[in-house]
Amino acid sequence: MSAYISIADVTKFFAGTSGRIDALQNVNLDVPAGEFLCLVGPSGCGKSTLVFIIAGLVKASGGEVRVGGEPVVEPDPDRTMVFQGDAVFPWMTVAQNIGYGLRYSGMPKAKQDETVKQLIHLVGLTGFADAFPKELSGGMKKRVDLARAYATNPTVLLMDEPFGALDAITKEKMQVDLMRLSVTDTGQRRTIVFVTHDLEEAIFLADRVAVMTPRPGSIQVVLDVPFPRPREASIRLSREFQALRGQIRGLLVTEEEEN
Amino acid sequence: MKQDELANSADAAGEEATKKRRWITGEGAVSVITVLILVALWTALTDSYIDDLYFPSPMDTIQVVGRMEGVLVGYFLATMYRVVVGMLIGAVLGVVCGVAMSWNKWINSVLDPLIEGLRPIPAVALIPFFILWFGIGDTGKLILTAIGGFTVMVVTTLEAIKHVSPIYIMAARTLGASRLEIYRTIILPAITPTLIGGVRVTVALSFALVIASEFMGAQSGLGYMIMLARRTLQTDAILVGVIIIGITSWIVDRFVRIVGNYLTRWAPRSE
Ligand SMILES: Nc1ncnc2c1ncn2[C@@H]1O[C@H](COP(=O)(O)OP(=O)(O)O)[C@@H](O)[C@H]1O
Ligand SMILES: [Mg+2]
Repeated sequence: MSAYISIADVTKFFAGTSGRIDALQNVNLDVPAGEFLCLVGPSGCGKSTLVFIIAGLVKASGGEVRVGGEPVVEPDPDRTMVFQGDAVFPWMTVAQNIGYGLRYSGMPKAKQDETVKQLIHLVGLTGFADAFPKELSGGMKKRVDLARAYATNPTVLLMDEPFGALDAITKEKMQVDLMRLSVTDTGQRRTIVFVTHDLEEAIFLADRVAVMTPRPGSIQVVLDVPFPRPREASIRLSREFQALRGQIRGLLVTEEEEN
Repeated sequence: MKQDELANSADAAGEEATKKRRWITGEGAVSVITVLILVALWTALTDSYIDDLYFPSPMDTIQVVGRMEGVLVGYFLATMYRVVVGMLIGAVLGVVCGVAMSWNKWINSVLDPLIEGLRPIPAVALIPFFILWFGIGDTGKLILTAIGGFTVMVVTTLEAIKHVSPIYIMAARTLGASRLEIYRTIILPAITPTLIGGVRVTVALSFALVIASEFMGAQSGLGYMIMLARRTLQTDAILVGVIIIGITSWIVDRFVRIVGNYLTRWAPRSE
């Protein structure tokens, strides 16, 4: 398959208060259409910065990102994002949050309401349509966030440690839901770039895992995850799974020792 | 997990209902007692140690209200008109300018030095000028009050916009919102809680500015009444003026809080 997201020689530096910070250096990565790619790396290596650049929220200092052949210049509802922090708008109800992107899609209002209703049901928030986020738990808010990112039916989904703040059980449930939802309305698989520091999460979800180097971040190696889908939660206990986890861990640890 | 959440919210609803059923809380009762003790103390002291010349007794104070009823209403309305209209003009202009300054850097560079120049000057210091320019009618007082409110609200608005969490703006951008839409659907609601705080400061300031400018030159208003009463040593009339100002200011603040709580009903609150 050809690259749907193509990241070529992307470099990013920030003018920090104590001098220039090189966040990313010559990042090269191709993600084929429909792939679930997990991005792991030591903290501060530029994972968030890289997904922000793909989203069009941050401009690269050098290099180019193309999505579907087009250079990324600004955000587009065809490339939505789930953030590490809580990005659910507290002043909007669950339904208004989920329908936010649809307002700008040109979809007729009745169709928007219908879509929102379906999504609320899909992410298990039935009965909470008119609740404000303050009335929801962390896990429920993350579901709102996910549903909102799905609502515009994007071909690319960017996720920056979306489940990082959740407890283990909620997290596993969200992962299973994510797999179930990662298909577009027309049955195509979405192309997903998913940042995580949880290696089990990465292996469980991904088709491939890209391991980054410490800052300035670049792609150290991209590993295939051979497990067939649909995957059961129990594959985490298999020897192959644990061997792969050990291998990635080894890559991350050596890096840290080198520093 | 979901069961728990439902149970929790049911608990919270139950608690709220209990709170509403009781007409007064323990804390409320204590506050009422404080007020009663103060009034008793006031009566006792003015009956014995304190001369009427310096501080009136509660009885005198109540009587003067009856005596002055006619002028009192007129003065009260004159003051309220200046406070409310001046404040509204100032606050609305302040928010509009603050938003415009954050929207466009050129608007910002035009207005910023004006605001920075105005901000350190206490508006009361301008009263003599305003009397000179506009006389002792309403115009000068309205402009003065508006300037006070404007300064507070423009600074509050700018500060609030600066502190809107960038994650909300980024999320809106990825979902296809234009810049105008981001201002309308993200920035305005996000700054509303801070703006309500600014409006409460503006209310207090507006009362202070109107009363002060009525002291210095006016032909109506509670400030004017207090000034006249001082010249004729009518302490009871002074006190009535002060009490009316206090009560109205409290009511207006209360009103702002109620409207504010409704507008920000989505915001998590610590009791
Ligand atoms: N807006 C910014 N200004 C200055 N430095 C930044 C900014 N954003 C990120 N950085 C720096 O860039 C580096 C990479 O950050 P980030 O992409 O958040 O890392 P990660 O998500 O992998 O933890 C860090 O050293 C961080 O301090
Ligand atoms: Mg990060």
